[in-house]
Amino acid sequence: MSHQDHSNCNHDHEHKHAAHDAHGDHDHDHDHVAVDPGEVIAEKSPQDQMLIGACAIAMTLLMICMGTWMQIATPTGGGHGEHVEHQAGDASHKAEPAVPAEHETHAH
Amino acid sequence: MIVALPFFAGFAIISSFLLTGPKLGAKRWFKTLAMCLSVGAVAIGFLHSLCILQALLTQPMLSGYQQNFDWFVCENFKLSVGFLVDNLCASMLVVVTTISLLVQIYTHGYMREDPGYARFYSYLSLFTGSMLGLVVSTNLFEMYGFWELVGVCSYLLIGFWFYKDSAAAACLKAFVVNRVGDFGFLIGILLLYLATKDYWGGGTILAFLPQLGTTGADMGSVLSMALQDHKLTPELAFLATSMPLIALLIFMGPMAKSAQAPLHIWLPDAMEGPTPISALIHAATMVAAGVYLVARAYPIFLAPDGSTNSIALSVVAAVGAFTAFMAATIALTQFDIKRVLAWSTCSQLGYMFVGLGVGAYGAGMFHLFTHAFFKAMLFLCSGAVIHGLHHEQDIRKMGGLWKPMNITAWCFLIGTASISGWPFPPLSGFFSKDEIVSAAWHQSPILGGILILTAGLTAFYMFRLFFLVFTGEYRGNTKAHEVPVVMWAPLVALAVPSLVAGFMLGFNKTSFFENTPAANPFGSFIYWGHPHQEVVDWTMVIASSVAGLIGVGVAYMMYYARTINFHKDIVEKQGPLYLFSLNKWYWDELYLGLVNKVFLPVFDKTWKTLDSIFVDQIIVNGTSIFTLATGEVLKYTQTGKGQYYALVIFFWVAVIAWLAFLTTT
Repeated sequence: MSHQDHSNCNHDHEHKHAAHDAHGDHDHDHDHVAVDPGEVIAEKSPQDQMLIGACAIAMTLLMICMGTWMQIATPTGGGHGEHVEHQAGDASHKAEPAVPAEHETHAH
Repeated sequence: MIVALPFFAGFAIISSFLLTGPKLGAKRWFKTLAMCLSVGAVAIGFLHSLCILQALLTQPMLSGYQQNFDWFVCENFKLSVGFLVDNLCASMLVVVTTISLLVQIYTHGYMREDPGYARFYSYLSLFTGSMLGLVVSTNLFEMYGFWELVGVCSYLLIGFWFYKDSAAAACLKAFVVNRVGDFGFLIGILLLYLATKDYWGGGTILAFLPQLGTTGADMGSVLSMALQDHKLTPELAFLATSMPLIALLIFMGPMAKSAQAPLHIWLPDAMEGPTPISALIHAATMVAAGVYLVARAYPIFLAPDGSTNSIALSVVAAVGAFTAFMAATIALTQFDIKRVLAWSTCSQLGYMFVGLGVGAYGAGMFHLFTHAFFKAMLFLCSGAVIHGLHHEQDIRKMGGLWKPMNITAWCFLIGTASISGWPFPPLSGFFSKDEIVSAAWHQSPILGGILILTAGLTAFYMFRLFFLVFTGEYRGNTKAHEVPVVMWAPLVALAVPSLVAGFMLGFNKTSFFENTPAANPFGSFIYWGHPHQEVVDWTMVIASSVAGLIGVGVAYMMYYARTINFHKDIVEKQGPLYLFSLNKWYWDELYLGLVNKVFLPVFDKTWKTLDSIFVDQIIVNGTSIFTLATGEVLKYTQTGKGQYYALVIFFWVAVIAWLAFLTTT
């Protein structure tokens, strides 16, 4: 049974939901809309193979990127708000550093 | 291109429907085309996002780039749109594109036989584009536009099965509740503009540093300059209180979008949407947008002296802690597998807000990062279970699925252990949650205590879910089966970062073992002002781990070993606390009561009063009476005698001449 069965519900389905509703969780009341799934892409089709391959490649690339990230031992200088520090000595800016040095340092 | 391609894919699919009719969606070739367009667009975005992240990781000098384009210019006002890429943005781009890509792959299996397959992909693409646009926005106005677009996509996707009454009601509820929050957000943006317009170049009210050739100034400098010049005072007439007010109004947006109390009520009902949507929108990305907004607009939430001891951040932390605890207590007694996870999402988002609220900026964002992976995986696992059990969502009718759904069960176990902060071995949730708990404890032991207690509750309800679904005897009627490869492959892919992301990005040997403050790799890359450096507080680590282990132990005794008869002692007795949790703290009843007993009667009485007294009596009847009365008086002046008219004219000429004489002398 698949997803359209949820909408193509028959009476058995409805009764099952009625019992389910009796537990007071949520209602599954819905109209009986006859829906046709149309032409279904088969399992193990080339589309499936392509997507599985994409999934494997994507996670490999992500882990490589996180491997690079893992090697950062010192601040990169790109943190949000750090520019405020850089501007402190700049006469063209009237602003003082908006964030004091200790604000995110917690002595845990 | 990262933002534009998903929009292109989404509009291309929708345009095809508009041009050729809905029957096109039933064709296999069109389904394949829609899937390829949508997945291809997000895959290209994913590769670009990785390239950006890799570039920022390896070449710190590249850090931070923004480009603004004037969109609307008039005499005193300029509105720009553009894109901003810095470390915070790059990490969010990777999260959004990774989860979106894997969810779209999973969708192919989950929605394979749904007649709305192609339509679903079009909505997914539109959502992905909107979410990515929100992430790269350079100013609050632009962000607000994308904020609303993700809200619309969420509405469309929750109500995807619109012929179900419950889905139609849920999408409406989500839309209305989010409008409440967004109203405050919009007022906050407008007030912020009013307060800082003297310093605002029109472009970068949100962003980080002024770029050469642009007139924008960064948010922190804008606010500091405005405060120093006391410009906030005359503009808004309440100097010291204006910024917290603005910050809190802006925070109303994240409260609704990230389902924080009291605007959380839409999220559990949003589970009426297809499960891939629950994983993408209502677990990993859109609900995290609120956290991202607070992080991005962090200067607005700071105290005037730039410290994190501000009213606004205190409120953020308090709301987060309350929601974390409340949602965890509700999740203890729910029976719908997706709703348990939805309440868990509310709770974990609360952790993130506490992190930001207590100044542990990096920790809050790290939890967003790790949570996105393991919560998306948990939702996809729940979808696999629902699919494998022919749409059964009630965990009382599950059980014993470890064998027939072994891969799903392993992935679910990894996600459960991760969100519970399982310490042996430490998974991703252990590292990110521990940082927040430690920071909260040092800010306020009450906050820290609530989070530790919540950690115990989290472990309990997640392992309750796991034991009830995957262990014991099967209590359902249909035969369970494992999902196809295209559905479990994304689960396995997400299990990898759920296992190792914490250790890879959250562990620093120096801070853990050498008693020297140091930042972890994530904190070294994403931080506000300065990296979050700490010596790990082992007391807190042990406290939160013990709380989690107690939760796991109790769940084990109740639902696996069954040494405690939970049903006899608690469920059947229907005690007040149990009912309080089961009925979700009666929030829905409270809102219904307020609306039906207070707001509607008051509005009803008000409009009736206004209508009957002001409109009917004063405006309508009053006008006619006035006309009648004046007619009655004036009719005596119409005598028809020429001498009388001449006398009146003479009289008024004399009066005017006399007045003229008085004014000239």
